[in-house]
Amino acid sequence: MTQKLKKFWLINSPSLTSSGSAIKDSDATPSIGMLHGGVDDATCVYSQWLSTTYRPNSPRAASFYKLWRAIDLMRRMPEGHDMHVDTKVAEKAIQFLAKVNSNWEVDAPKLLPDNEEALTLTWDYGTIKRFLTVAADEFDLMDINKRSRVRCTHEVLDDESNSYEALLSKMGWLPRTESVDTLPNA
Amino acid sequence: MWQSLSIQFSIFANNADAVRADDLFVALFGEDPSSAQRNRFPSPDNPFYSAAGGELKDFACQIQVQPARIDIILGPVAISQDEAFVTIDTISSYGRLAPAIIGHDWSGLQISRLSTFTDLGTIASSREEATSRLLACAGIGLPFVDGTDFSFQVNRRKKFSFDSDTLMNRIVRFHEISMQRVQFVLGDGHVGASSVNASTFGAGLLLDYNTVPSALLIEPKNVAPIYTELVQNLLLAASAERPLEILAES
Repeated sequence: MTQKLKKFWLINSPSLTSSGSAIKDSDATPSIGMLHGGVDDATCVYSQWLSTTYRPNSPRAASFYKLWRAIDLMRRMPEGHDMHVDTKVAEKAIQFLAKVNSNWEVDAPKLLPDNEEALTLTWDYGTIKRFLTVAADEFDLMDINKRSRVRCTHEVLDDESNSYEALLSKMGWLPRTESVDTLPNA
Repeated sequence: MWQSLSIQFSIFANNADAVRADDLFVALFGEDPSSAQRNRFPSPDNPFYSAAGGELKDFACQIQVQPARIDIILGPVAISQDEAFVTIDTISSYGRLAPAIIGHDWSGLQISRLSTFTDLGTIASSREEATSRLLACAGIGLPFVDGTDFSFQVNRRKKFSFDSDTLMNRIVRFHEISMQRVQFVLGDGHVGASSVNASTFGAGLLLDYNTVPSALLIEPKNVAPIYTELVQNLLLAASAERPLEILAES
């Protein structure tokens, strides 16, 4: 009787937050957080698995990714279409979101189509709803108290070299510290 | 000091999708990857624009490109059935990977953040010993000896020497590791799995050194000096018996 034997080494740690490791992998499968290993003879597979907080497919990352895809689709809509947005505006929004995703502690916003010349990102903070309108040459930031309907508006011109800094200072987000688990990635 | 389970460089770039993992593998290491894949539309299940992997003599390397992020990971080549931990030497691993990263031309990328991190580990004979090693390494005392679930993290920022406006995060995290070895037996209609040994414990030390996010992009010419300092500082901590003392020095 020939019995095929496979051995796996399972490393399991709720508190382990490493990056995982890239180990010989015959399946070309990305290694992070997955069970995988190298085949060293006909019958045995040796593997190890590392628990990790690295989450390439985290819900937050997926939300940002869907947002980028939606904006890219809007950019490719024919001019004159209700959902079309100017390429320069779309690229500016995508770059802004990528930066936010990687560097700041905030969830992905919702997308509110505006017109060809701008699009609006929205966040809900309890009684406050925040609208960030991205246009080719400026950001407009507006907060609305949902109960009183009182509005607070800020304008951040993009011709200032520190426009992102000025904008982000108004947003009040904390910078991300760790890079291990920042991921769509974020 | 303990050895690394893996080391990793992460480059946060708005236009990371402009890079193909297999091309980058060749550019960094001068040889083709042994495996590569591309994804036209990344999804949560398969989040990479592209991925490439291959062996570099004593190491295995994976490159992963995903929205706004490029990861370059170095780990052990093979897993031995006799070793619970498979580790790589931290200094020689960085010696293999860092020059390639630092010497690469990153122009064309809109880089917002740079990072490198490694997880060091060592096996302990018991959970108590793992905790004891962590406490000794951290220089921390507890008024009891039977504590479990120990973890401790601290960050101390530092200015880069080439640019006082740019700051680095130096995150040090001490944590327990638990391991279990499982044997799967397949054949003749019998499929089963059994635990080969009881849980094994270890002590882990994560070092996550990265640039503090700002609203400004990092100029490509600054990638080399930034990574040089990040790696130098990380290796100082990785080599020290008490990494927190390294953080205290500056």
